[in-house]
Amino acid sequence: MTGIFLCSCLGEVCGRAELEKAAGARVFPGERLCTPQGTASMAVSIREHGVDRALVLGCAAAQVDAVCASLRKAACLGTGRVRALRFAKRGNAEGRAASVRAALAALDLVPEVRTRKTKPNREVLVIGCGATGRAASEALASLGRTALMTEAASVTDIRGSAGRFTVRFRNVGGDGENARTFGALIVAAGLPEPDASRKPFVPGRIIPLADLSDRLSGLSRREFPASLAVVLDMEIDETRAGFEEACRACLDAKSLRPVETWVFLHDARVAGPGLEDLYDRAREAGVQFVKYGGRIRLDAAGSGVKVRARDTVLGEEVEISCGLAAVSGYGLATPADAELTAMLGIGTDALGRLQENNIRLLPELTGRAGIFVAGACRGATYGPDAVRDARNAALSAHELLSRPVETELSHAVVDGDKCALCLTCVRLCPFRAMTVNAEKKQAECVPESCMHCGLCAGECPNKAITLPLWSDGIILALSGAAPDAASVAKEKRP
Amino acid sequence: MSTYIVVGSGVAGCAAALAFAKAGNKVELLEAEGRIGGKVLSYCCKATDSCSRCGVCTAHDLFAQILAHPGVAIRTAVDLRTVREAGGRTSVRVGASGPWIDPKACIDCGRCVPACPSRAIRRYARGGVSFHHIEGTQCADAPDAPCPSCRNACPTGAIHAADPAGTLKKADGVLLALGHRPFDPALKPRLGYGRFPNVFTGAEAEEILSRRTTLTRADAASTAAPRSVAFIQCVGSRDPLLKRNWCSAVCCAYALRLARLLAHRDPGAEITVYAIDVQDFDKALTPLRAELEAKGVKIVRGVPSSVDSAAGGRLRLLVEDPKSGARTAEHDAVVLSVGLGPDPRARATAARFGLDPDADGFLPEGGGGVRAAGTCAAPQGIPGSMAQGRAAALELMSGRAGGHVGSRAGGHG
Repeated sequence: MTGIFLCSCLGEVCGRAELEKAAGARVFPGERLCTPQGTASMAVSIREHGVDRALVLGCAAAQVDAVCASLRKAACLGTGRVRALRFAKRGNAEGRAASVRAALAALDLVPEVRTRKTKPNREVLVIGCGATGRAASEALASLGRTALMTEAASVTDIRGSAGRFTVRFRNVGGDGENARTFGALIVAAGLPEPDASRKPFVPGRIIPLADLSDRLSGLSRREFPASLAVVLDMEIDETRAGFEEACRACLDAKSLRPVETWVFLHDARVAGPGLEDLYDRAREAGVQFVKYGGRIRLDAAGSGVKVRARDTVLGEEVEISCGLAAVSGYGLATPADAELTAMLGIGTDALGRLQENNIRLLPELTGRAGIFVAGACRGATYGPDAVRDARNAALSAHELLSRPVETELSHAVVDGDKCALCLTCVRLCPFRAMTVNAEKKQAECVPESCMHCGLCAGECPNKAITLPLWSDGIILALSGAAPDAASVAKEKRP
Repeated sequence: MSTYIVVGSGVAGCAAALAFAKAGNKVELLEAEGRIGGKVLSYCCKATDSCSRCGVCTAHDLFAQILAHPGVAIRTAVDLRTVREAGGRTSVRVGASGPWIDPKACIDCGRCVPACPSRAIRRYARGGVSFHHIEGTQCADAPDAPCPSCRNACPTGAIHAADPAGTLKKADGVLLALGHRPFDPALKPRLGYGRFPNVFTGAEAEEILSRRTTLTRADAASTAAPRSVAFIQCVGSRDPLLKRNWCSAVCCAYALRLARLLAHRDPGAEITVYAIDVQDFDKALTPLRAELEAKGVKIVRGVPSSVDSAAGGRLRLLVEDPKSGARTAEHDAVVLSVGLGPDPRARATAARFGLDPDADGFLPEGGGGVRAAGTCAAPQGIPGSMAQGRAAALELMSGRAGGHVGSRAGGHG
């Protein structure tokens, strides 16, 4: 039976007699349905009267999504079996009656949805053993959770979904593999080190900024360069990490020997505690900052390096010669490890770093439930940010694994007779939910990963995929386009 | 199960409160203002035909979750009476400075609005969050002349009376998310704020653009869109003379996003951003800057030192130029990107919990049972504040369970 719960805040919605007459539906008037007490009273009515579908009618102000969610939980009704209609205070009775009829027709078409509860694996795999990975592991340990750390290079395969990822590892020595199951993955793999033999580096003249301090401290007075240039933002605009490192490296160099230092950068990235002070100290110590626009050219000429760029403060070309140049690795367009990205199956941003440029994912979420990212591999190269991300990732993993992973089996369904195994859905699914079932020779959906977005259903060339809660009949009924009962009944499932 | 007190219900406080509650703890969310949400509620969505990743919608999602979570108790118009620490627990006597509406019990029926004789009740409804709140300054309720009109009208008992005595709350940890205060641009009189109607602060511009299509004041004579808009960055930040020598971290981001919004609403508009350095350091902002520069938004190095009136109601900006000394530029409207700074009220509150601010006035992250997060700890944007709030919550919760870290170099799976 369908129950219509009518909140007193609406007064007379539309003809109540008409609602009563709606086939099999019963109207339950109630007070303050959007409060926890309201939800409890609705749940009691649902149990007492054997209601299996519910329609909640309330005013536009009510937080109905939350009400529906808690009612579903309290009354153990599946997704799609509880629907809410919000009405503005003003509105005509006919329009309201039509909406109620459409919602009832759609409710009648909603199939029974079972729920599957799986106990998640309690362990978390942290990929990356740098400072970010360590911070994530420590945070997990402080929450009472076991974390396992590994380097990205030893991971060979990742399969499964939130609560149950099977990860294969390369054995030490390279012979064979072994596998282990984890509840969640935290990826803190960093970015590949800049290759000191590639452009723009020239051994001994143009070196990675990360190597600068080590190199200078090893030089004798005679070998020490008279002048030094640090280049930031060479290929891409970089974060505060490069700026901080450049200032510190120049101050370190000046503390060793009197050396003329230049820092070439697009913009001074000072948006972090203490960075403005560091910038001031560097300038007071005589470090010269040249803010350039566009490209910068470095040429190893003679025994030194020539740096040419257009100064945007003076508006003119500048050219300097120095004994040694250091280029920040953060300013090079380094994408995240391609092999790892492919294994994880998560999106990347414009620079090829992990995690799409989507505000709802920041800072640690990815398109796949159970996989979290932190630190440089997602583009957050600045140390304090990376540690903060790592803690957020640990907390999210902990929240995910603290209770059973509850999945409503309303995922995409593939019709095996129609599936031609073209793999369109497998390639398209943003959540890696579509897989191939080799035995049945058809595509198949992993319920735990499916987010019911419907992309697969929309793009399947053979129309082999449907989402049970969004069948054509339900959509037509909701839009009020299927008034004729015969066509609705045809769609109705047993 | 532990109990935590979160002081401040902006994005950082709410993110932390939700993290505590999700881990099965009880949370008392305390807010000094009459309504929850902090400053983010007055910011606008800065999407054009596509999202600009400003994060205002994620803040609303967060508030909706907080309002629905049974583990979080909310109190607004809070007046902290006494704070005591004993045996690792903090006891706070929480009073109410005036009548307050519990947003969790409010069903948004609106019956209190006409009942109030002094019209002090406001409604907030946006982004799936709706509730009523009392504007404390307008409420006529007083200890000697109590006014129970709204309380009598409320069908759910959501409106509570002022509570001068207060009730005692004990907590295992306290998170301070006390927020910031934007710089008052009147302290830089040469920039013309308050003298010219077409000089706005960034926050004002946001509020106007969230309600109107053009950047004009409600009482302006003409509602025509300004054809040429200048953004002046670093107003009240990176300024040692004002003793505000820090980068405010969010202004470049909001100025660029507002510039994008203006350029979208009026494609012919000339938009110039005057900046010392553009702080574009995350995955959203680097592409955003490139997009704006491709669209013709000019980013000019150097910040104008003064704003004066010019013919036809326009504004003349004096821009320092290292080569030619100084030059002038004319614009129809100017937006001052005022920086975030510490809030003096936050300083007093933090001192009661034993946290002393640094030289700039921002709070340290703290340790032990009291921590600070959000813009009271450092200038930062919406995602950053939420992340710091959650990280601080984790620090407070951690150490209450034992776990271990294994490492795996290779074969021993």
